Amino acid sequence: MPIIETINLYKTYKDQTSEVHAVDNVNISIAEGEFTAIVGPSGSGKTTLLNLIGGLDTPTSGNLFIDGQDISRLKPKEMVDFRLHHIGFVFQSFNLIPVLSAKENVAFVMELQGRKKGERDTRAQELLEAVGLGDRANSRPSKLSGGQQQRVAVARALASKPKFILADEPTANLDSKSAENLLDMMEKLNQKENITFVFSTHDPRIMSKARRIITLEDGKIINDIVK
Amino acid sequence: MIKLAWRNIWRNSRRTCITVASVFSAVLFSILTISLSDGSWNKLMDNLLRTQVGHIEIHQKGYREEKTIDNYMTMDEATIEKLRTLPHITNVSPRVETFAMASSDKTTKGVGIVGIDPVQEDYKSSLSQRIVKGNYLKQDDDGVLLGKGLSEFLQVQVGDTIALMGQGYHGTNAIGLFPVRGIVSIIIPEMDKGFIYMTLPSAHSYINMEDGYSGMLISIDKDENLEKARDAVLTSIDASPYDVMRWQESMENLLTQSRANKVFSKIIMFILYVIVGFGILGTVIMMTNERRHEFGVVVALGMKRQTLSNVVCMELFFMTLLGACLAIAVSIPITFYFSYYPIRLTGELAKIALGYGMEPVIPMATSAHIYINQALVILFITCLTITYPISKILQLKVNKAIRP
Ligand SMILES: Nc1ncnc2c1ncn2[C@@H]1O[C@H](COP(=O)(O)OP(=O)(O)O)[C@@H](O)[C@H]1O
Ligand SMILES: [Mg+2]
Repeated sequence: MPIIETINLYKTYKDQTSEVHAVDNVNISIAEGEFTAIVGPSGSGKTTLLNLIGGLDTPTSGNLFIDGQDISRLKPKEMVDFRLHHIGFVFQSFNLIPVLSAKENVAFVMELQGRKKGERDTRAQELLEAVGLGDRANSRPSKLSGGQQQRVAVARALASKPKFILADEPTANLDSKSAENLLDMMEKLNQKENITFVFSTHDPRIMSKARRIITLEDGKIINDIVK
Repeated sequence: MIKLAWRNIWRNSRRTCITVASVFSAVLFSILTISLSDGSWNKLMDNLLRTQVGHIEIHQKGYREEKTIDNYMTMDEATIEKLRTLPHITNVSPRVETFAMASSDKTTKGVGIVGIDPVQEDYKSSLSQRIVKGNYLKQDDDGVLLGKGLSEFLQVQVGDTIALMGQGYHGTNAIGLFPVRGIVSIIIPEMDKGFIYMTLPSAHSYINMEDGYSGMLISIDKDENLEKARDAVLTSIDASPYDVMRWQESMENLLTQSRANKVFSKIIMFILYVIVGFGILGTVIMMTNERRHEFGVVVALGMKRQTLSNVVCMELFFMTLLGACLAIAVSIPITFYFSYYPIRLTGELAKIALGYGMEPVIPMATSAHIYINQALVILFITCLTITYPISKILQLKVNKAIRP
């Protein structure tokens, strides 16, 4: 069974004059352990699609199944809880809560989940070590480089033990070296821990690291290759 | 979450300081203003209650409308003694108050005559301690005490004699010659320049009425026992010929005027709070908009909007409480200091105060409600401004907020 499955998914933005099909009849199925990139030019609908999958946006029509459960019709409150327990997020920029240290940022989602302090602390430290930042646990985000911040964001996404991690252009604000490092780290987590990643990018060098590349154009899937 | 709120406060420490400082100065300013105006008001009331009026006053019905001798009340000695034994009542001073022309060798002036029981009056207002020349009245004295200002105007000394002429009971003429026993300095200038004290028997024979009184001034132990004491008076004597008034009724005109003054200062305070309120609202709006993305991120991660609202509420309450507490902490020593060592007005201001019949000192009031009310007002304002971030958080479109 796939952990992400979309069926005839549409998201249409309307204003007075025009209609934009940001996501246009998308049918994809992603299995556990995949390392998938969603690519396409700016405005092709990558963010919209990832937001739909992550339950941050509701589809205009169509269905979305996460782990076999149809979440496209969940109430907003249930959706918040679903996200908290099933989905990990890495955003493009300003991911971290500025007043919390790296470790506290990672522990934050576990606190929302209501886990005990002892457990939060050990796991947060382990995760920071896993992303190579064990020694920066007490630094505030402003004291970290962009690449380091995104690593902390990945550690935080892992903290809730989600089914999969969605990362919308995680490297967009990084220099190419940090971008590659981040991807290498994600790839390692994917291979060693079997963590499912779905990320978007329009950078050819980044997309080449993915094992499956789904290409969007004007909200439609125009290509879906598995290496 | 408390940790998160606490850290957020210090994130933009300049903004926090401005908010705290504006809350601080508004609360401090209003506490000091109210403390001063309440203090001077209490002082005035205290002066009046100790000298001119009683907490409870008994008059003949009709006396208040027409203050003539024909409207005097009568009350026998036994009844007056009975009043003195009632609970909460500390003093009963029978009074004979009337007007007369006072003449010395040199000049003449209209004066108020106050017939008193020297012993009771001394309990009430410590009149004997304000003698500056000569002696206090003995129980059956046939002499008078003059206010210092009046003695200067009439150019009389202790030992001189003054003539009083006015109206007596049932249209008779009241005429009398009185030796001056002493000069008293009275804090209320109007009285100092125009009052003469004599014993009740002297006053009675002067107005040709044996047992008439303009009224009974009753003092009580504490203001909160006013109703109890008044009820006791009403049940223990036959009160049908009398008006038994609370001091608020006997000083109605003054109280109305004070209420007008208070309305004025409330308006000023209101304007001040509106300004501060908009100041707080401004920072709150700025803060909310700056943190839109962050709010989006934490809600996306799975923080309930309710929880996030609580965090933001906590931040704002921390800030206002901090400002309000600081203001109270600073104002307590100030107000207590000036309640023990009142501000003494000098120069023009002193003259103005004297002109209004007030002592030129302003003590500060220190009752707890002054501090608490101001803190509550500012907390209420904060509650109003909090609705802005809360409504923003509840309406936040996460998918838009997290877009860079
Ligand atoms: N909230 C919105 N309202 C109207 N149009 C939107 C909104 N969000 C996105 N769009 C439009 O949907 C399309 C897809 O946008 P997006 O998903 O952000 O693409 P990408 O992430 O690939 O750049 C774009 O044409 C964009 O203008
Ligand atoms: Mg995008």
